[in-house]
Amino acid sequence: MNGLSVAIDEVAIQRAKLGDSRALEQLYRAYQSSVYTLARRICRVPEDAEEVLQDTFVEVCRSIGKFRGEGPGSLTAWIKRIAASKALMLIRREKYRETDEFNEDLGAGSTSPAQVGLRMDLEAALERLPRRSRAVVWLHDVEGYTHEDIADMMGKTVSFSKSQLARAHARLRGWLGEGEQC
Amino acid sequence: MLIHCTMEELVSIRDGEGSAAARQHLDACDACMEEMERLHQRIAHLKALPAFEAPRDRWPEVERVVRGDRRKRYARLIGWSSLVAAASIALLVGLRGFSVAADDPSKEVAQLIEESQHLESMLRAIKPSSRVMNGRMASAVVQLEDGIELIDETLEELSRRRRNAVELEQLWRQRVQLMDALVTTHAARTASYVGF
Repeated sequence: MNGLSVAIDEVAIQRAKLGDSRALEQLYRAYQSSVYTLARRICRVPEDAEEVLQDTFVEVCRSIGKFRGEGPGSLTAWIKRIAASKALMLIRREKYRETDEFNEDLGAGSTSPAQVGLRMDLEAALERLPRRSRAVVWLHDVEGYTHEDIADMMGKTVSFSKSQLARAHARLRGWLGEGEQC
Repeated sequence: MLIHCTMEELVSIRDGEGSAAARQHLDACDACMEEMERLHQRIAHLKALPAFEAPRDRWPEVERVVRGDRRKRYARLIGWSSLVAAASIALLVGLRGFSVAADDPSKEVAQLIEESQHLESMLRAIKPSSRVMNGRMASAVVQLEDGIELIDETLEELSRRRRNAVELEQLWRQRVQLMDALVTTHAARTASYVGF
């Protein structure tokens, strides 16, 4: 999982489950960066990512008593799943549909990949992807979710997730100027 | 004619899936192998993208919403105690008949309970949890809510033992003042939110 620094032990998890506000804050401090990054990558807009961050931890605080996993690993997966669901819920809103149409119109053109370094190219290319493709790429390739998980979270089919991923890679490949496709 | 792997096939093969024919082709085709290497590289670069840091600390707001939840749950519990308290006071006033003085603490308490309930309903109408607020305001709201929670706990404690009308009146008065400040804070935020 991406960008995660976990400084949470089993005692802190148990205390958080009992509603201890210091332990809950400790969870927030440990996971905020990875949750915000996931949200930023999916939503793209910083303000929306902040909303996802806040909503995710409100949900974590409300539901941690029902969390049945053991250890920081499963807690990470649980928190990230909440964050991914919140981010996907947010990008279903109307304004994102409009932004997507705009992105589709942009095509492969406006910024020359040769003008900036590879990382910036990839950042820009990722941002330019339509919202659902971007979400699938990030969740599958970076966060490690399966197509079944993604389909479940998005309320779509597995084949939808697979085709979005392939289309996204075809686009990224073209935008990054990686030569003629075989 | 040589048919190369599609991107969908390459992505499937990378996931440990893909048809036998596509795998066979990949093993024999340098161009498709190169394409697969590009795919691996791209994913590695995606994973290496830097993490973002949230520009603002959202914890005070998260804490405020969660405390609000707890307070609502508590208010539902205390609501019954309030009703019982109000009923006892009404009974007491009723038994004394019209000879009760205007500044009777029992009557005052009944009015304060009513006022407190009215402020609670105003607060519900504002729906404070549905709006984002800055850290300073969130902290002020948390303090007010903590104060109300403390009073509610004391009121609950008081309801278990012999009631003292003067003490009750003071507590309910404080509760009304804090509730009023809370409603004012949220109302001010709502006004600025809609651009007044």
